Amino acid sequence: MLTVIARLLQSQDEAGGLVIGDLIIHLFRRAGEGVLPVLPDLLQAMLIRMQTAQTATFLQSLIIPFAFLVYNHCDAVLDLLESTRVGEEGRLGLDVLLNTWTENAASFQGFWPTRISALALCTLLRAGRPSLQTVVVKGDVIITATTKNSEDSFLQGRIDRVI
Amino acid sequence: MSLLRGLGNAKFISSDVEPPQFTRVPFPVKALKLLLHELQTNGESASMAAAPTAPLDAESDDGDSDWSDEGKVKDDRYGFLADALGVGGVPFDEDEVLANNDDEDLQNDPISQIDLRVSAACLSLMGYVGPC
Repeated sequence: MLTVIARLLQSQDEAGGLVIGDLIIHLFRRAGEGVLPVLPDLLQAMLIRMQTAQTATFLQSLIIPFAFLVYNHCDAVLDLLESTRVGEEGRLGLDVLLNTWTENAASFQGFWPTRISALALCTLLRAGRPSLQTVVVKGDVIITATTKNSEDSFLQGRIDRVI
Repeated sequence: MSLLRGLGNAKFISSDVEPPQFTRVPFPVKALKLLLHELQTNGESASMAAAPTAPLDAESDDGDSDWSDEGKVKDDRYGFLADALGVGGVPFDEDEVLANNDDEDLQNDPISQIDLRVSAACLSLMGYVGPC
């Protein structure tokens, strides 16, 4: 199973969508401690792939296993994320995960994934680690003259179609 | 001719529109915002979400049992829609239920049975949010 997951992570094809996430989740739930020896490498590979993933379903596949691990083994996962650097820029693993997670959480599909994501966010807030306070993520869109004009044009187009 | 005149006044949209810009916020702020949104939309457990609410045919829901159904529409052609969307059916504005493609194993997982409002209450006790 690990070979299949590794192949899916290395491929640039994201057609696997949600399947790879389901596969990793079932691996974590069933294998228990048996997966511990390969866990650091697996999580690092997922963080690296997270930086280039394009589709919402594939990103969900990469984020939800982290949410599951955070909910069940918060301190161990945070230790790992705080000590992991990914990509050529050497970004902190925690920074990569939290930015990708918060940008995509609103589009997660399925009851279980949205629930484990919310519970894991609760767990992170309760953890109160200093490293979590320093991570900065994307907030709300800044309304400028350009974005406002785009919204006005969009709304006007809708009104015209209705009329 | 009027078309050409119209074209003269047309505003052409440049293809290199600036991408939207976003504020930057600390992670805990964004996490709280996501949690509040989740609570507003669907905070209850899977079993609670699936449980039907009180039946509509209760004898009286406002204490006025003399009220009669004189104006009740008898046309049942669209009754199936009421069954599907009404009490005990799928909430029409509930995307989560419609998009619930979890496998049976995950549906029976204890995580699906957790009421998110309880976790939010814990955060409330810790001073992150106001009383729920």
